[in-house]
Amino acid sequence: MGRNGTKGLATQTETTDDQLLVAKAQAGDMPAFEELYRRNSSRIYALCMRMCGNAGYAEEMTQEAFIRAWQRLSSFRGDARFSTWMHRVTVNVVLSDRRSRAKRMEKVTDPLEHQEIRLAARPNAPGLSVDLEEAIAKLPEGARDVFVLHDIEGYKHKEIADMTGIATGTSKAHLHRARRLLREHLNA
Amino acid sequence: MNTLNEHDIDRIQDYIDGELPNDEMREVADRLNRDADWRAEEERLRALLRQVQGLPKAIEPSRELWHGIERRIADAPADNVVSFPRPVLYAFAAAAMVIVVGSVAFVTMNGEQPIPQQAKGPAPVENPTASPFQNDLPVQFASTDDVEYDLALAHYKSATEALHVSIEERRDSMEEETWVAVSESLAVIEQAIQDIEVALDDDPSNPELRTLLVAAYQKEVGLLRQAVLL
Repeated sequence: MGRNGTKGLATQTETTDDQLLVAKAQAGDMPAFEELYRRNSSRIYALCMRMCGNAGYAEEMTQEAFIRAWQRLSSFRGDARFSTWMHRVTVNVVLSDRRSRAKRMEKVTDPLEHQEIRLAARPNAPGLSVDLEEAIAKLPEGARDVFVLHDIEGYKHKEIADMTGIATGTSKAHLHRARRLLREHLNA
Repeated sequence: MNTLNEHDIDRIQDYIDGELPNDEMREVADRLNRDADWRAEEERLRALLRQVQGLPKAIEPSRELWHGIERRIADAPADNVVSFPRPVLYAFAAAAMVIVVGSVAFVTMNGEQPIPQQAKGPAPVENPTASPFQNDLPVQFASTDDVEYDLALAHYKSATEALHVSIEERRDSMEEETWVAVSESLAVIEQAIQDIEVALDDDPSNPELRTLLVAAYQKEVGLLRQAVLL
């Protein structure tokens, strides 16, 4: 009970600190925003890493997500935690960038270029649970997105559907497929 | 021999996720009780999910990313912060006073007048029936919107406190004239907030008063933000 109470208090304090930092950042205080970055960057990078499938792209998306957050900070009203809002911003940034890249890819005719991108889609950050992380990185994009958002980040199918623009049923189908593929990969 | 097809496996996944209707949950539970293949499949799925839950939630990037973010932000200023030249601050502060005085008049003289839902251009200050905030009311609070109202109020109060701290930290670097202008404007806004809060004590669920109070805090935050940037 004591541990839970202390943890609860610590979380509450952290939330209050975040609120103060957000208020300062909203006033243009860059050091406050940097502190928010320091507190959240590793979780945001992990999310980007798993959605993007490789470290370079994940780093780029992490930076884009925080730049977008800075630009949109005035719209953050404090209804949710900053970290929750930041996760949403990140998912939107990654999906939006993915759509832009897909449009550009439609114009690409050189098959070698496709090959290069597919080979690059592997995690190469140190310290990961390599087999599982590799298997996740190899999932088809749609299945990977849903799997990461549902099973790792804890979003509900309805939330995923809202964020990605797919139907709830499609989200479930992607998740089922992702889990089947992961098991096949890990058992192979 | 495993006799499960994809549909069966999907049902077991939905069962584990709690995504099935109650009657189907019971059906799958019964099947799991009497079918070893189903139980084995359930255990394999749960093992995978345990493995996934063991993945790190946080991963450090292999290089420092902040400097790139900072540089990009500096190159393209955010729309979350609006920078005004000093003369504009005075004009803004004066406008804030007029607005808040107007709001007090609205509360005391027009308490039964509903606030228009949609803004249609600047409100003439001479018009005593117009809401002084109608151009930038962020949210209209119904009397039942307790949670939203409390959250909005808490957010703006917390922002106000943090900005007051920032202003105090910058006081020494501010010109006296600027400090006086900011302080006087803040005093007027804070008096308006007090008046609205007194009115709310008598009528805590009044949606117009709630909206006015949050709008007054929003005005205070806006003024403080501009002052912090000076």
